[in-house]
Amino acid sequence: MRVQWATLARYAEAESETGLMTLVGAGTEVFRMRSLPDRLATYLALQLRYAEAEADHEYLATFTVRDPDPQPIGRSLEVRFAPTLNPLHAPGWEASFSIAGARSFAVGAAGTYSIGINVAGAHAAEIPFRIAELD
Amino acid sequence: MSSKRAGEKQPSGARHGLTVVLDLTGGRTFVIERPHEIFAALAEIARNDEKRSDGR
Repeated sequence: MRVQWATLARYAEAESETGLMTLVGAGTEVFRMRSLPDRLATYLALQLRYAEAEADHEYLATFTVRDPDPQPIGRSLEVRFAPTLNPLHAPGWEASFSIAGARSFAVGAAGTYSIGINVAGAHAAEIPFRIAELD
Repeated sequence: MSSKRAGEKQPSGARHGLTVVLDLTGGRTFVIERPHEIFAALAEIARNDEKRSDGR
């Protein structure tokens, strides 16, 4: 199981039946806040790739958001999922599973934050993002 | 409210994809069945965070 790509976005959702994702503003890196402290709502999207033999098993993805210090903001959150092969899956090819996540949290200071993603107990991706205060 | 609320059930019945809302301060993960539930979950998280900060 590996992360093929992961990004922040202005909006993201994933369909459970198809794995298709709807992304708006993918690649967002900087969030400009009118003033601080304020509340930030943002989205992340990741596409996982896995071997056929890994289908039909339960996996755990863990998300940890860190502030500029870098200390965790709140708790690490776990998402459990059990991917299944598409009936039209091409034998011998990797399969995919999509996860979209929204999060909203209080931001106290400008700086570089990050969201770390662990999949199946291993560090899989780190997405940095900046919070800037408008002058 | 007629729509089904987002729940914390895990794992979900998702086979190929999953949409979640992450409540960092509350330590909860909402599994989203329908896209409009995202905004309800985000609003609930904001309300709860506000209550927590008022209670400090």
